[in-house]
Amino acid sequence: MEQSPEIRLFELLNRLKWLNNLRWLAILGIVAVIEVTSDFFSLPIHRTELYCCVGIMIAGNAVLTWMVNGVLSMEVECGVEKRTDSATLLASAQIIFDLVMLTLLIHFAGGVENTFNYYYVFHIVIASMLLDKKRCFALAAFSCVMYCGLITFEHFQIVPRYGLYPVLSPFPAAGYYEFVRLLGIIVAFTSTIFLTAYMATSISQRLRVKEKLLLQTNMKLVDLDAKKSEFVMVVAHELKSPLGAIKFMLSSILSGFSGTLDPKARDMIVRAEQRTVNLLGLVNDLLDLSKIKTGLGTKEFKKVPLLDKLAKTMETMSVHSKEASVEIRQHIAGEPEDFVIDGDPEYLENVFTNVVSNAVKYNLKGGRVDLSLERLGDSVVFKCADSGIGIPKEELPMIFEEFHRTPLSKKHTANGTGVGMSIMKRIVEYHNGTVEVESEVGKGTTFTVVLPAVRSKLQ
Amino acid sequence: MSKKVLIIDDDPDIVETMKMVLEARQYIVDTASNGTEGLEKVKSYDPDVIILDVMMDSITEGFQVTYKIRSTDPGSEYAKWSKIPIIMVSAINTSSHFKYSPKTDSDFLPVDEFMNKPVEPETLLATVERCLSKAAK
Repeated sequence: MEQSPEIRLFELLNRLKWLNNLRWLAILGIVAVIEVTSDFFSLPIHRTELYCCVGIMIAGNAVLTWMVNGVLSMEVECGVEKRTDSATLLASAQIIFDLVMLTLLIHFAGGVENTFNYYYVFHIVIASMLLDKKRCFALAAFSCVMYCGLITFEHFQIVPRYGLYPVLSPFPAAGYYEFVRLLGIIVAFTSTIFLTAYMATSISQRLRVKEKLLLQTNMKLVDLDAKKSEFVMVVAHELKSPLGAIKFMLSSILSGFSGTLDPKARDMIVRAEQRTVNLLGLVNDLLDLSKIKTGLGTKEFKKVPLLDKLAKTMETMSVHSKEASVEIRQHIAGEPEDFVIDGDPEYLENVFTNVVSNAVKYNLKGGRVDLSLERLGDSVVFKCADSGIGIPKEELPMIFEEFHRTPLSKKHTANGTGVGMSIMKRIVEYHNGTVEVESEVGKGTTFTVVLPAVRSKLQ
Repeated sequence: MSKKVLIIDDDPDIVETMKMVLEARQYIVDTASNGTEGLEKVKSYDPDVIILDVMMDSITEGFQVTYKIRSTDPGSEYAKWSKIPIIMVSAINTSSHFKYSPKTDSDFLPVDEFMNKPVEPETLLATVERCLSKAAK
């Protein structure tokens, strides 16, 4: 899978713009160097010629900037390929322009004596960033021809020399050693340029390969995620539908819609219905757990008013608590705005439901559940204290484990999958909160959930 | 006059049981086992209320049927029933199991009531009654 051609084109054009900006900087630098070397170091600088070059560079950069904007605003109908071709041509043109100007500047400022011949390397590196391997090597060859050509022509006086330093000895006499030096410079320069081109292009290439791999992996992950959600959905349907149908049929029979029931038959159907209810509960819990573990369905955080969620839980639990003869009382210490947190509303409701339903379930007839909500500094503290069967000290650390049910709780009721607490803890931690439990067998259990509150108040 | 109920659901057990429960309370019931058949029966049977399952042949078949019936397109063949009460039945209780949540996005899904599976006979009767009395107003 290739990176989108549009993205590559966009990147290329951005780099070209950057190059334009860099060139303005370079022009300033050149002017500075001209002034410093002629004034401060009193070298015989040929200002006229050099400033002519600077003028050409200024004009050239203006034209190139205009051309880059031209490609940028090219009609989308021209097609990405055509625009990419234009952009690539423009990139090559820019680099060639730079190389020619560099050569000219060096020519008018000493030729082989000029110490800025290293700057050719920059352009090769830039070429490796903007262009493909072939073009980069072509430009490397072009640079060598330019520079080596220049110093050779100057050496054989085909082209006039603009020397910086007084000539150390009369030209023909020093000819042999100058020639050797010339060869040395040519060899060193050419090898530098080509090695740079080679290294820079292989780095660029490796980078592109890694980018491609990253893109592929990302696409696979997105795909996998979608498949996971679909799997959960399908499992939910495949398990819960038949179970739901069974429960519906049994409930309808028990409610008398199919006629009168023999007491023995009634008894068995009651028990079958209860098993179905348990099984449905287990499926729900497993789906919740699998979803939380794989981080599915995590939506964006919203501002959740906990007071509302607690009220909803109370409403849901009112039937159960009546059936179990357990009284639920609540203590709210603060205003609704004090209890707002950033989170997922469904998950948070789940936390309340889990804690409160356990408090009711593992309680005794006539027992109590005390709920409290208070604001302590930057946190919201929710406490649920029940007067139920309690948890033995050695079991306390294990109650948040998946499928763990204490022997005491199993004795109290066969209902329960042991998954609720582990789900609840994960949700709380996902919201950057903490949950703690204290308990004494025969006396009761207290759960304390602390969640970071939204600092600003709800409007 | 007895009210007519159309049940569109691919689960024959659920359909049979619903039929049994509703007929015990003097409703007239017809059934369809998929969306296409269901839409046909809307036109031929002319029900007063529709009970519709979400997932039948495809994951969102129930939604497709709803959109067809509720279509405000002037040329829609279901125009006569565009306001008919629709009760949607879903195996998916919480939006956490389903990225698109019918319950919380009910603005987008124009059904009148939701029932979660497992359905209870009393819930079914109460929901149907609620829908019909609202429609009568």
